[in-house]
Amino acid sequence: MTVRIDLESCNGCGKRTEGFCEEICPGDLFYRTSGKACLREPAECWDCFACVKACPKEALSIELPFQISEAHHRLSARIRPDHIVWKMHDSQGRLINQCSIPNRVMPGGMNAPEQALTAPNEDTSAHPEPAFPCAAAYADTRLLRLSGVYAQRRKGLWMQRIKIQGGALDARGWQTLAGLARAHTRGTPLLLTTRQCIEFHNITSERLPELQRDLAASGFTGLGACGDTLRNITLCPGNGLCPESVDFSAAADAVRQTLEAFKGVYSLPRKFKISFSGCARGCAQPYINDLGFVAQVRDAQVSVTLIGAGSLGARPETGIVLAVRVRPEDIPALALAALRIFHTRGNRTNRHKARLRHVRQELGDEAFLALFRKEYDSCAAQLPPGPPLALSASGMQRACELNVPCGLLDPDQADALAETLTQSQACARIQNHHRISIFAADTVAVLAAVRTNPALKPLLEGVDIVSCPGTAFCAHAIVDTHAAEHLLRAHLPANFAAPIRISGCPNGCSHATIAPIGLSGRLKRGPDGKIREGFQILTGGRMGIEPGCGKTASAFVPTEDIAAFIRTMPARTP
Amino acid sequence: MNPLNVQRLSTDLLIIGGGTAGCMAALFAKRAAPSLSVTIAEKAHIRRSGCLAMGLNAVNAHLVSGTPEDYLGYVRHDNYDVVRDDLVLSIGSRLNSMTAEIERLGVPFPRTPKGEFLSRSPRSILMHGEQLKPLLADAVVSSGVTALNRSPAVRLLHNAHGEVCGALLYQMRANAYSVITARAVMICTGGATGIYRPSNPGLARTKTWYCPYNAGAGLAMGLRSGAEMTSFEMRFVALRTKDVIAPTGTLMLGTGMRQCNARGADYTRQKEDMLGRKLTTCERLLFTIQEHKQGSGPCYVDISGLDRGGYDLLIESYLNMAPSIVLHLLKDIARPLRRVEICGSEPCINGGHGMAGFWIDKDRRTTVSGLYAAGDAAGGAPKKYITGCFAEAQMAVEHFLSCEDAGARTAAAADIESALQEASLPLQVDSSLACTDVEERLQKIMEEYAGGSTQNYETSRDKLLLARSYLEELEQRSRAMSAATPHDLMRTHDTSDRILLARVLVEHLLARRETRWPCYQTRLDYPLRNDLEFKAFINSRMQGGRITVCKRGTAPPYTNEPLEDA
Ligand SMILES: Cc1cc2nc3c(=O)[nH]c(=O)nc-3n(C[C@H](O)[C@H](O)[C@H](O)COP(=O)(O)OP(=O)(O)OC[C@H]3O[C@@H](n4cnc5c(N)ncnc54)[C@H](O)[C@@H]3O)c2cc1C
Ligand code: HEM
Ligand code: SF4
Ligand code: SF4
Ligand code: SF4
Repeated sequence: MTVRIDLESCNGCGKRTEGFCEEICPGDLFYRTSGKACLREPAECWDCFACVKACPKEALSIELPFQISEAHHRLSARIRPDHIVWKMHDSQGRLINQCSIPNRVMPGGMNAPEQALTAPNEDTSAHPEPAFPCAAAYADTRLLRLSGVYAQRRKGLWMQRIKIQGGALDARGWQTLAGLARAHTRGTPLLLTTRQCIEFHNITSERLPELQRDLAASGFTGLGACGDTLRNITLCPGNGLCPESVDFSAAADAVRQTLEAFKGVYSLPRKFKISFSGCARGCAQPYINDLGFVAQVRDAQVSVTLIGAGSLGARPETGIVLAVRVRPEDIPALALAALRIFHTRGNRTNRHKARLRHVRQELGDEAFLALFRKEYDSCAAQLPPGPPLALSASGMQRACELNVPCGLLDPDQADALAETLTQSQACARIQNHHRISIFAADTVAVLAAVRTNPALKPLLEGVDIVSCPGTAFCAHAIVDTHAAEHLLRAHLPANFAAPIRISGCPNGCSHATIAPIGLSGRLKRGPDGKIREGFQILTGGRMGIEPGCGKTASAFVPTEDIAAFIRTMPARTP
Repeated sequence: MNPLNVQRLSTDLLIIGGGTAGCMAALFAKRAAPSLSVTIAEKAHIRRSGCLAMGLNAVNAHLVSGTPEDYLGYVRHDNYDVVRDDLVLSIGSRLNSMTAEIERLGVPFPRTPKGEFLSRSPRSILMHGEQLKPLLADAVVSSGVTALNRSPAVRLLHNAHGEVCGALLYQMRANAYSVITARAVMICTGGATGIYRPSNPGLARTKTWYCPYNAGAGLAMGLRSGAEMTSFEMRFVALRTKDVIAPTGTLMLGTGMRQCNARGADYTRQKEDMLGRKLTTCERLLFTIQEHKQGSGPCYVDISGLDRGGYDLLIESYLNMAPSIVLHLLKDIARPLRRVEICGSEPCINGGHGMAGFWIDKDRRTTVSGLYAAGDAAGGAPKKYITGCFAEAQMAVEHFLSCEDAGARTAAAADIESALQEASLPLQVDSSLACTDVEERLQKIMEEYAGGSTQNYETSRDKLLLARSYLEELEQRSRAMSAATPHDLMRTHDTSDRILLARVLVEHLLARRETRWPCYQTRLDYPLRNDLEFKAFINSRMQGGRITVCKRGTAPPYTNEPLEDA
C-alpha cells in the first residue's frame, strides 16, 4: 500500500458524483464504497500524488512500499491558492517536516490593463453620521447595531461596543474607559473582544445616550463596531512594535478613511472585516478575514501579500491570495475594490450566504480575481496613493501578556494597567484572544511592575481560554460559557498547553470550531427529563495562519464534567 | 448499460490524449479559431494525466544561450547523427516562445536577482511546475474546448477512401462506446511503457519512470491504420535513482554534484577525460553499467558537497516533480541521505526523450491522410521535452487551420462495425484470463529476450527471434482476455496495444544490425556502430496484419531502402 486513506477524515466527498480522488487518478484506481474512498489495485499506483493533492479532507498520504524501502514516513500535501504545503509525518503520525513551495503566480502589482466593469457606487440608503447616530433611534435595530449597540439577554439592558483600531489603547484611554464603566454601568467589567474591541455591558436605556455622549467626547466611536458594515480593523498586536515587523497603522487609517468615505459602507450585505499582520506569522488571522494584509520582512525588504474572501462563521473558509507584492500606495485602492465588489455583488437575500467569500464561491476564484483586478484599476485611478510603510523602530519588545479570564477586565484592573503603562513607558495592545500584550523597551522593569501590582499579578498566568459572552449577556446563547471557563481555570493544570475556545451556541463567536480544543454549547434532556447544559467537544482544529476545523471528540459533555473530560483528552486523542 | 449502445458525436478537430501536447494543441486551436469545435478525448482526467501528472521542476528544452542550430548540433551529437534535422530545427526555433506560454499560464519560475531564469544547463531552466497541468487544463476548459475525460480512444475510424475521420471512444463512466467523427485527428497519447518488466516487485511494480498509464494506444491505433513508425528500436532508458526511480538530473544539473562508483571514483569524469568530450546521455548509463560489470558497483550520485541551502533546494525540486523520493532521502530525518544509488529505468518507447514514434513531416502529418501526431507520440526528434511537445502541437494546429474546411468526413459503416467488433472482444469472451497475467507474460518475454534492464539492455538475433515467436503466440492467446468492469476493459485495451508495440519493437531491434545507441539499442552480435549501412532510420508499417520494416536515409527525401531479412 503506498497510498494511505485515512478513513476517518475521508467523507467520500459527500454528494459529488465522483470523489475528487476518483476523478483525478490518472490510473483510474479509486472507487468509493460505503461513503469512503477505496483503492482498486494499490500495486498499479504510480505515486503521482494527484489524489493526495486533490483530496480536500487531507485524507490521503503516500508512503514508500516496503518492497523498496524501510522508510516509514508519510508524505501529504495541501494545495493553497498560490503555493503547496508539503508535510511529512512519521509512523506515529507526528509532523516531522513541512515546507511550502510557490506553484501559481497570482495577480501581483495589480496592473491589469482591462477596464473596470462596475461604475462607482452611489448609495442612497441611510448614512449614519459619526460617531453615535442612534441616540434617538432605539427602534431601528439596524442603526443601533451600526453604532455598536446590541440588546442584552436581559430585557432593557444594552451592550455598547466601541472600536479600538489594532487594539491599541494608551494609558489615558484605559483610564477613561474605566471611569465611564464606573459612571454608567456601575462598574461592570469591560469586555475585550477577539476583534480588539471593547464592550460595555449592563447599560440601561437611560444611560446609553449619556455613555455614548461621553465616549464621543473622549474620541471613541462605536460606529461600525457591529452591523453590516466595515468592522473594526484589526492589526496584529505587535504591529509597529515587534522587531522586524511592518508598521501598518498609517495604512490602516488610510484604509478606514477611504472605505468610510464610500457611500455604501453602511449598507453592505453583511459585515466586512479587514486585518493587517506585520510579519509573516500573520497573528491577525488573515485567512479568516474578508481582507488580510500580511507583510513579510526579509533582509529589511518588505513585501505585502493580500489574502481575502475568507471568514469564520459556522463553517470556516480560508481566504485566497488576491495580490502579491502589493505596493504600499495601492493598499487603500485594493481595499476599496474588494468593498465595492462586495457591495454590488454580495447576496442580500440570504444572510448565510452574504459574505465576500460567497461572492467568490459564486463567481469561482478566477472570475473573482479578474473582477477584483478590474475594480482595482478603477479605484486606483480615483484615489490618492496610500501612505508609505515603515519598518517598526520602536525599540520595544513584548514584555508580558495579561491573561484576562472571560475577556472581562475590571475597571480597577484597567486603572492599574494605565498606571503601569505610564510608570514604565510601555504600550498595551488588545490581542485577539482575551489577552493584552504589553510592550516596552525595558521589559524587566515592566514585568517587575506588573508582578508587584496586586490587580494585575493574577493575570500573568492562566490557561489559554476564550469564551464568548454566553448567557451572561448574549441573547442567542443557550449555555453559560463563563461558568465553564471558570470551572476549567480552576481544575486544569496551570501548564495545560492546548488553547481552548468556548462558544455559547453554534454561532461560534469564540472560534470553537477551529480550536485545538473547542467547546460548543448544547442542551440535552437527561434521563430524568430535565434539560442539562453542556458542550459538544471538538479537538484538532487549527487557529494559525491556516485554520482548519476540529473533529468531534464528544457530542455532549455536561458542564460539570468538562474539566475531567478535557484533562484526560491528550490521552484520548491519538 | 450495454457498452455497445453507441452514441455519435462530431467535432472539427479531435485530439486524442489530453496530456502536454494535446491540451496545448487544443488551446492553440481554440485561440486561433474560437468558433472551431475542438474535442479532447482523454483516457484519464486532463487535470492530472500523462507525464505531467506529478508536476515538473524544469523546462528541459529552453535555449538559455545559443541558436536553434546549436540545439540541433547538440541533439545530433547526443543521438549519433541519426535524427530528423528538419523536425529538430523546427522545434528549436520555437522553444523559448513555448516557455513564455508556460509563464502565461501562471507557472512560477524562480529567477536570479537580475530577473533571469535560473538555469541548470545551457538548455534547462528551473520552474515550480507542480501546477503546470492543472493550470493548462483550466486554460483549456475556459477556452471552450470540449474535454471528454475517462474516454480512451480505442480505434481510429476511416472513410471509404481509407482516410482517418474520427475514432471509437470508450466512455468509461457511462460504460458506453461512442463514435466521434472529425475533420482531422491528432494523436497526442504520448509514448508507451509497461512493455518491459518493471524494476520493482509487488506493491512497487508500477513505480516506473515513464507514466505507466501511457500504454501507447495512439501508436497502436496508428499502426492498425497503416501509419509508418520510426525508431522503435531506440528505446529510451533513463538513468534514475534506484528503486524510487526519480530523475538524477535534479541531483547533478547545476549543483556540481557528480556520479561516482562504489569506491568514490568519478568514473564519468575519467571517461570524459579519456574521450576528450562530454558524455552523451546514453553513455552516462552505459558507463554506469560497465562499473557494475567490473565489480565497481553500485554507483551513486554523491551529494555530500551540498550545503544546507542546496539540500533544501534539492528537496524542493523533487517535491515539484517526483515527491516520493523525498521519503527516501529523508528516511532518517536527522541524517539526510548523502549518497544516492542510481540505475537504469525500464526501457520505454517515447519520442520526447528518445525518438520512437510516428514518422511525420514538418507539419506533423503522419503518413495516413487526416492524422497528425505531436509530442511523445511523434518520432524523429529526440530531446523535445515539454516545450518541444508544445511546439509540435502548435505546428500541427497551424497546418490544420491552413487547410480548407472540407467538412467532417463520414466514417464507413463497415469500418465502425469492425472497430466495435475488435474493441468489444473482451466483453464477449468467457474466460478467466486476466490482462495482468498477459501483461506479466509480455514483460517476461521482453525483459529476457529483448534486452530488459536485468539483461543490461543487451540482446541478440536468436533471442529476438524467440521473442518474435513467443509474442505471436501471446497475441493469439490474448484474444481470450476478458473484462468484467470498465476499468478492466480499459486495461485489456492497454495490454493488446502493448503486445502490438512489442511485436513491432522486436522487428525494429532485429532490423538494426549494429549498436548505435548503447543501452537504448545494444546488439551483442553486432557490438559496433555501422555508419556505412545503418546511419539511417528503421521504419515500420503494418500491411494486412503483417509488420514490414524498411530503412530510410537521414536526409530528405529520406529514400526508402528495403532491408534484407534478419
Ligand atoms: C517522470 C517524467 C519527468 C519529466 N520531467 C520533465 C521535465 O522536468 N522537463 C521537461 O521539459 N520534460 C520532462 N519530461 C518530458 C515531458 O514530460 C514529456 O515529453 C511530455 O510531457 C510528453 O507530452 P505528451 O503530450 O506527448 O504526453 P503526455 O503528457 O503523457 O500525454 C499523453 C496523454 O494521452 C492520454 N492517453 C493515453 N492513452 C489514451 C487513449 N487511448 N485515449 C485517450 N487518451 C489517452 C494520457 O492519459 C495522457 O493524458 C518528463 C517526463 C517524465 C515521464
Ligand atoms: C447578541 C448576541 C451576540 C453577541 C453578544 C455576540 C458577541 C460576539 C463577540 C464578543 C464576538 C467576538 C468579538 C468581535 O467580533 O469583535 C463575536 C464574534 C462572532 N460572532 Fe457574535 N455575538 C452575537 C450574535 C451573533 C450572531 C447572531 C452570529 C451569527 C449569525 C454571530 C456570529 C459571530 C461570529 C461568526 C463571530 C466570529 C467573528 C470572526 O469572524 O472573527 N454572533 N460575537
Ligand atoms: S477526495 Fe478525499 S474525501 Fe473525497 S473521497 Fe477521496 S479520500 Fe475521501
Ligand atoms: S498517487 Fe496517483 S496513481 Fe497513485 S492512487 Fe493517487 S492519483 Fe492514482
Ligand atoms: S510577530 Fe505577530 S504580533 Fe509581532 S508583528 Fe508579527 S504578526 Fe504582529
